[in-house]
Amino acid sequence: MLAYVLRRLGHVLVTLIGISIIVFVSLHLTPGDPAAMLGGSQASDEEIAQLRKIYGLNQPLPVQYLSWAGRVLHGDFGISFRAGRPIGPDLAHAFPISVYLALGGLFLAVAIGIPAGVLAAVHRDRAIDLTVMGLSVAGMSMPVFWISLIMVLFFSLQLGWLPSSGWGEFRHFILPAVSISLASLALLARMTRSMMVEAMLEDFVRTARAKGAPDRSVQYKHALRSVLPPIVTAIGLRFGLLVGGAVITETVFSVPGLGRMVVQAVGARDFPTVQGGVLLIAAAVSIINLAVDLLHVFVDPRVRYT
Amino acid sequence: MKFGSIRWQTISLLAIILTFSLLAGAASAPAPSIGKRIVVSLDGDPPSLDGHENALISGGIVLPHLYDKLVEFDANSNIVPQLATSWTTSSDGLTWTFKLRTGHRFHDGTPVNAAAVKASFDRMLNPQNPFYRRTLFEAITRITVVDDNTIAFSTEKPYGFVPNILANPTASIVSPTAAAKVDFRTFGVFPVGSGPYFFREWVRGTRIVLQKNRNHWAAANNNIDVIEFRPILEDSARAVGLETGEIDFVTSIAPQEAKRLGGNSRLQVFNMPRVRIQGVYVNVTKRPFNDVRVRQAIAHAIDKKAIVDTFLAGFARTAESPLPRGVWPFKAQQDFQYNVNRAKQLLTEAGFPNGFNATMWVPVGTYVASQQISEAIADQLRRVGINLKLEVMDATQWLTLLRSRNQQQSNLEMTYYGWGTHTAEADYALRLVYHSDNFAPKCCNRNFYSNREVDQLLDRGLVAVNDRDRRAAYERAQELIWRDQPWIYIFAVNHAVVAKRGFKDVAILPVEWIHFRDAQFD
Amino acid sequence: MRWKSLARSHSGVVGLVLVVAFTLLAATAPFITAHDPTRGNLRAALTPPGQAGYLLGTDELGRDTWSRIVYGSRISLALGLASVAFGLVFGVPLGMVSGYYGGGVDSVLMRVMDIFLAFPRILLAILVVALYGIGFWSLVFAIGVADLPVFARLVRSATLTYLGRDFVTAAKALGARDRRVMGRHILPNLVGTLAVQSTFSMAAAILIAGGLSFLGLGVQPPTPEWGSMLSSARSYMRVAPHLITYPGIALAVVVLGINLLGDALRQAYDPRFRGKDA
Repeated sequence: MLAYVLRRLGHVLVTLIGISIIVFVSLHLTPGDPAAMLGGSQASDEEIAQLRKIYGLNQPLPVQYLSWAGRVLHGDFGISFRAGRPIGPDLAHAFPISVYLALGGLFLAVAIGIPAGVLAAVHRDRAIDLTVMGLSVAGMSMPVFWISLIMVLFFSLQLGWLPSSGWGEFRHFILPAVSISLASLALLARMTRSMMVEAMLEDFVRTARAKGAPDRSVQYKHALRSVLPPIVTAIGLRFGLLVGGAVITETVFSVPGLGRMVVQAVGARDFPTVQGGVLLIAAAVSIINLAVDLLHVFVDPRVRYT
Repeated sequence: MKFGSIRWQTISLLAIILTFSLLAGAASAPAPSIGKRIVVSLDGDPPSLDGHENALISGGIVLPHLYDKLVEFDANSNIVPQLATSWTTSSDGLTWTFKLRTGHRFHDGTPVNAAAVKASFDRMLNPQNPFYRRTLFEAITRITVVDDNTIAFSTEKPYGFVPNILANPTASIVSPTAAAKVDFRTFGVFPVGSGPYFFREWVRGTRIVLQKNRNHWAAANNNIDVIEFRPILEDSARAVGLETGEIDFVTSIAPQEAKRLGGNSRLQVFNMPRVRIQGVYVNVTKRPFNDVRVRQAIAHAIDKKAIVDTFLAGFARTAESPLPRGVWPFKAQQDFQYNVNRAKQLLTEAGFPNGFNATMWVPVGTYVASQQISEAIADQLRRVGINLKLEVMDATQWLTLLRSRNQQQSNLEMTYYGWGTHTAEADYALRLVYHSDNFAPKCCNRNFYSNREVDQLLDRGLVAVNDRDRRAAYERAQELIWRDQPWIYIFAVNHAVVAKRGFKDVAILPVEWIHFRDAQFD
Repeated sequence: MRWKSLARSHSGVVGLVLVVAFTLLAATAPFITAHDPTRGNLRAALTPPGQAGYLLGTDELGRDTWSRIVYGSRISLALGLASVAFGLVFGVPLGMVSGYYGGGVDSVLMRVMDIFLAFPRILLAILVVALYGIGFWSLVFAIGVADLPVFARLVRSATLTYLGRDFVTAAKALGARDRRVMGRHILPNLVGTLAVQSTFSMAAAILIAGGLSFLGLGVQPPTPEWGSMLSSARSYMRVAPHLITYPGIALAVVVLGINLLGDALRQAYDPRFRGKDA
């Protein structure tokens, strides 16, 4: 087991190094000089040269990469080109915001999606099933940026119930969390339903039913227990995606999270911020994936670590 | 299947889509009012609050509260006293002497005297320090402390615009004792100045909070105790914030939104001039743009008024000169009126009776509605046979392409472009952009416009000792440049500012920054 | 026989009808629109729906919204198809080679795929667009590149299950070369799985393309694209709500159609679903 964990951690490390190199190289290949952006359209070449020196952009690429990597190993993510201040505190500020948002979205998805899926499976082919499935396929199909805009129009502008942007209080949190949860909610509902349906047809559930267990308890206990592991996996994967992938939701609602920070930094060619942000996101995704796999081993004894 | 999934799934699908479509209706919401604390939106989180750093970006709105400068612009771009109460020029025009206000202190208690002012300038101008904007001040060769309350700035050649550059936010006076205690980055996060507000809190990407400095001489002029700046990047989010009452003052917003919000009785709209001109920038060394008739044809083919009405919703004036109003000495020129036939005729004379194809770069995120305006221009030019291929790109890429190439390498044909003159004077507005000494990559003549007479006039204006000679040179230069149309000038943008009713005397300056130093809010 | 099972699934029929409808819209665009989708008339800007001969109104440049939506279906469908094709063309061979040969090749390829999978799709796409500039093909590449590891992993695991089967062993024993075994014996068995995944990938691709365009990282203007239409409509959200409503509906409905079709295909191809109806 320990060897397995260590090997997986090794993989995570390789992935992270790979990502950091890919991101670093591709950023430096992109057309667009960060110093040009920093100076603005009215700066002279002297000012630009000054900026390149201030931010160390005049050094050879491998030197820049190695010095960056060396500093990251010491926990120093460098200085943001755009903000001119250390990135560490900014990342430390944005990361929890993205995590809260992801957790909020995931909470809604789990709290509504799984019961809805179970309900649909229990009432298979009945009106309730078809409604849940219809809604969930529609939820999967709706562009998150569109729903977000419509929610702003309705809940912020028309009713004035909830703020359309900002961060800090609970009421700022609601619309973005709903927006971010929809796709996961739909996915979890569909997944729960189809796996429950399958599980209920499987032998051990039939056996339990034949033994005279009442319908309902069979459905809930046996079927749900057997579909839990893959659902836990799915939740874990979704969580990883939501932490760094909520770019659109964060943009529409002006949430100062990690995804938005990275996207803005890409636009401004703020290399250190992009590198730091992407590294953090990738680390979060990889570690969550690893944790889910390990959890899997505990939840489902049939899985062996290989 | 008992219920027929077509029916059920279709119904639920329709229900969802209908719900969301219905929600798309429109209405407005009530707003709570906040006492003497105001919430002001910014377009972005400032990079730093160090007065010497990068001051022209969103910080330009925060800095005037934290720091004083020697002098400031007023609403007509005249220079008015701030820390300096009066100033004189020596007869040779080489020395400018400023008398300072007495008894004023920085937020940390350090007295604001001539030595402190000099120390602040030394910090900004020291090439070892990371403040790249210092080139704006390169005319100044020496700064002398005359006595405790008198400071003198010397130049090598006469330079009539010394007060204008000293009114720039980069010339903010920072507390020398505070700045010496910490490194630059820390100072940018914990700024200390002598302004009417001191720094209280900065939560990244969320808010910057300033609190009134009761010891400031201007404290009595204004009744706002706390200013909270909130970076909100999206126009629509800022509009919504106003409508829901979360925000009291929006420093800039999409013009159409401003126009629409003007219909709201709880809000007031400020449509104020700015020193920024927008247009189509063409490479005057490339065929067919090397022919002045082609450039004039383009000027005739663009319906400037329609663009101003549609995309600027009246928050702009069609261009009248290479200088916007509010830059000294503006002089209106004769308009190239919208006239498709005249445009076609000029194109025929130039040898392009059927027009031509060209590529136009469109930067996004730098100028108001740049993409929509460029699309409209392309649409209009198609009527005279000029087919534009638009290339939309992010601002960084665009800036790099624009500035890094010399005349031989440049592949600029056309681009949507703008120029702001934050010193409100013609030297900054014209010499950097039109003088052939300033070809890219050196500075900002990026379409390689070269006219000997213009060069001479600009040189003459720079060193002229009296205002009359200076004015004559710049007025003539404007005429020549306008006739040459090295860019096709379209409009001068205005501020589109929207606020709750009850704001009085907010300084919304042509030089683009906005401050509440003398403002009232009830 | 698959068609029969597809036809038996009612939601599949709905999906098929929607997809066919949008394909027709795309194909007949010039015949069912009265205005050029890229030509505007500033004096008719922001016309409400139904007025002055504009069925769905006009946008801020006075361009006909109906024309832009109709022509936009071409862009969205083409983007979806092209980016899935990209994922298939590169992902399938990689996955197959990885599964077939195993060993070092396999672990190197899968590590590389892991790198891509440790990235939220949209961020990966944003980086790619920053690298290549905005435009149709860079969007295809940006989205397809994220599909590649999905297809590669899918094909790898499917290949592994077929590797031990008799017909593959037999073909190998008869001296068939590796390429032939992969191409003639394994690939045909993957068609169903790939069809299902491609359909879902296409739906996702259209949504992501819309999202990127919404963030201003889509196709060059004045190309009518639903996501970029929504993005510019944001500034006119209160003045002209129709600009937000219709492109969003178009996008939702076309993606819904493809997803429903995908569900039906899965039921048709997946043995676990065969004979069941849900």
